[in-house]
Amino acid sequence: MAIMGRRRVCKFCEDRAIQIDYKNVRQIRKFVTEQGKIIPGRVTGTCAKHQRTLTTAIKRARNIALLSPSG
Amino acid sequence: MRYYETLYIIHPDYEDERLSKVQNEVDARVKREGGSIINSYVWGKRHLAYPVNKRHYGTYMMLHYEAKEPMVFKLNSWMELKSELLAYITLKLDEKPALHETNGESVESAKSVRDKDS
Repeated sequence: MAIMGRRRVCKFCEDRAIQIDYKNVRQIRKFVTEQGKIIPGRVTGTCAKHQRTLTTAIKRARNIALLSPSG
Repeated sequence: MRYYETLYIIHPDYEDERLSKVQNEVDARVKREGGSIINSYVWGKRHLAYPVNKRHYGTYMMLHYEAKEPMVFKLNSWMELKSELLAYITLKLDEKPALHETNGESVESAKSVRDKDS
């Protein structure tokens, strides 16, 4: 089943030069499901480079109790 | 010398003067190990995403400092043993962190600072 719909844009590449930071919880929470799992880049349209930095930021936020690893 | 950022959480029961006492202890430890502090301020008292040591709240403290590498391991192991600290995370920064407006500002304004930058 081909995923139809507008070609998604990587939020961090084009839209704004925002820094991916583990302290910026409001920003990171958009890329995590309710169960606290990381949403894959193919779903959010994030490019591989930013997805990698995003993943480390999420894991750091979990480590310092800013983000919950489970639900 | 490298720039480091340490975010650590202080036990919620520590308030005002006891909080600053712990903060000064950490600062003194950094200086004693030969590091120089750039920023040391209260980031905010927050609800933890999951209970740490059975505590649901904690005061987050931000610490930016410049130091030699071996000193950081000593500081981390010292923080590990301190019972007042619930958790900490230490990062190496690429460039010098910006000076914080007012070091040791009150908790409320720390929260407002964080909301603005999203």
